[in-house]
Amino acid sequence: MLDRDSPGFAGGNFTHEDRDRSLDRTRVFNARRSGSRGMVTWLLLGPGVLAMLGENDGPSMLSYAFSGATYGIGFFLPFIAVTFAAAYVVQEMSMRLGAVTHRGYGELIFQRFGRFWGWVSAGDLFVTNLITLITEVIAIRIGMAFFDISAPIAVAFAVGLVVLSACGSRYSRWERLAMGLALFNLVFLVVAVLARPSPQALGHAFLTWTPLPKGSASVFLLVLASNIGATVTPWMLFFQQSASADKGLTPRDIPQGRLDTLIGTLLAAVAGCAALVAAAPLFTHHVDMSQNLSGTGFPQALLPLIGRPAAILFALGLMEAGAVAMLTISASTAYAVSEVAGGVGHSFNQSIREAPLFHVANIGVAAMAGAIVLIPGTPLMAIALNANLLATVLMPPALVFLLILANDREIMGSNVNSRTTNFLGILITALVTAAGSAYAVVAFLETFQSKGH
Amino acid sequence: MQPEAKFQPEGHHESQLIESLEPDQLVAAVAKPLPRLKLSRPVRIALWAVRIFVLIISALVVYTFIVKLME
Repeated sequence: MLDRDSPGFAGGNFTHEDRDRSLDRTRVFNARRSGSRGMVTWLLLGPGVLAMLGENDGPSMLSYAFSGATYGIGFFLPFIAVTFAAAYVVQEMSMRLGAVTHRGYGELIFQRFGRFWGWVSAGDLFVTNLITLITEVIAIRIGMAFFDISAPIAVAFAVGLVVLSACGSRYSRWERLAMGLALFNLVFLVVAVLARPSPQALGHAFLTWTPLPKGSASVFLLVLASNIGATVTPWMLFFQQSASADKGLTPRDIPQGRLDTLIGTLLAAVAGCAALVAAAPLFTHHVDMSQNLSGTGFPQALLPLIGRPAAILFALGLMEAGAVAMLTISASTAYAVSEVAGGVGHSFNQSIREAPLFHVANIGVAAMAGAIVLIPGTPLMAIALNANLLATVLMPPALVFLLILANDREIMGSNVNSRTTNFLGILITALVTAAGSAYAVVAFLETFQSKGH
Repeated sequence: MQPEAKFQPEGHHESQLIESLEPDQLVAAVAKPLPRLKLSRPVRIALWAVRIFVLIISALVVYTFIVKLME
């Protein structure tokens, strides 16, 4: 490591990436020196909000809406809020790792656990990210189909957005563009209000977790696992840790990093619960959405129940959810691929010449997802419903690595996990594992038995 | 943790501006890999157990997904 007195530090042998990051850090220092807490918070806001609102993506919003349409306002409303609390615990660890080590999650696994585990983790992430990105394009396509915009234009928009966001070679520019888009996630709150839910039913659901879901156990477990996968996913770990390091967070910024994560959690939880509430009229009117997700799907089904303005906002919300996640999930793939490749640039502060693999992975994975969506006959809706489930199934190994790294005193020093954080982390890992495996076993047995008969 | 440097306004010499960064935050420092973690036998077994468990569960999910798709 370099220290301030070493020739490498004082000699001025710095990269373009160092210079860009130092400009951002200088602003933070200036704000801190002038005692402007609000400005410090504003400058350090980003990775947490983006990870959380980015996770309120196309399949997540469809999953929350499907929960509302299938079970109404009841058990799943407080359940979604609790899954966001779990997401906060996990993402706080990831932010802390990035701020203390200045390295991404993939990089740390690769260096601390070796090449094998590094590539296995990156492989898990690549599979889940590609499938999730396909569903983001589907969400944008569904939203645009409501306005009679064709699928190729929707795909071009989705991929073009990723290309546009990477122009400029500055992390701060990319981050602010993504954050500006992410705030539109709250459009679901407006739709929820326009759906006119009963305040008593909302209060009752949050206080008692009732009415409890009825019907098929495998459908219930699918929705349960999908809702967990909608809030706690592998890409968020890779993204927030790498983005925190790329932004230049230091141990001194951990309180602001926690605030950033908390703000993101609250905003995302409100928007997620709102999507469930917005779709609940479909439950009241007994509309079966399990076979009605294709084409214009939810916005079209909701049109006669909550009115045209609300249906339009729902469609716009899906487009926004897909668009933000296109940016964040492509970025997390790029961070992971280039970190695991080792010795190559992996920052938005670097140009395509300085970090070719990073930028090619960022745009390439988005283009690949877009191309798959355009293949005729691809089972898009089946992929959309199972994307979150896959994230839940592949999450336990990522959580185990996270817990080991966050307790690694050699790299974390005094910033290792507290006992409470470890207890919560282990509990979350156990619950995520149980939820994913319960659905997998029950659905497998049901499918196997039905084939036997 | 290093203390933050004195404020250097934009336009100052690069080496002064760069002092806003912590030494171990520089690209040159981050490029040096961290040493391998010495994993105990129970931890290694736990990592493999989780991986095998995930592969089995994934196989069940993929089987169900394909069967339902063909129905």
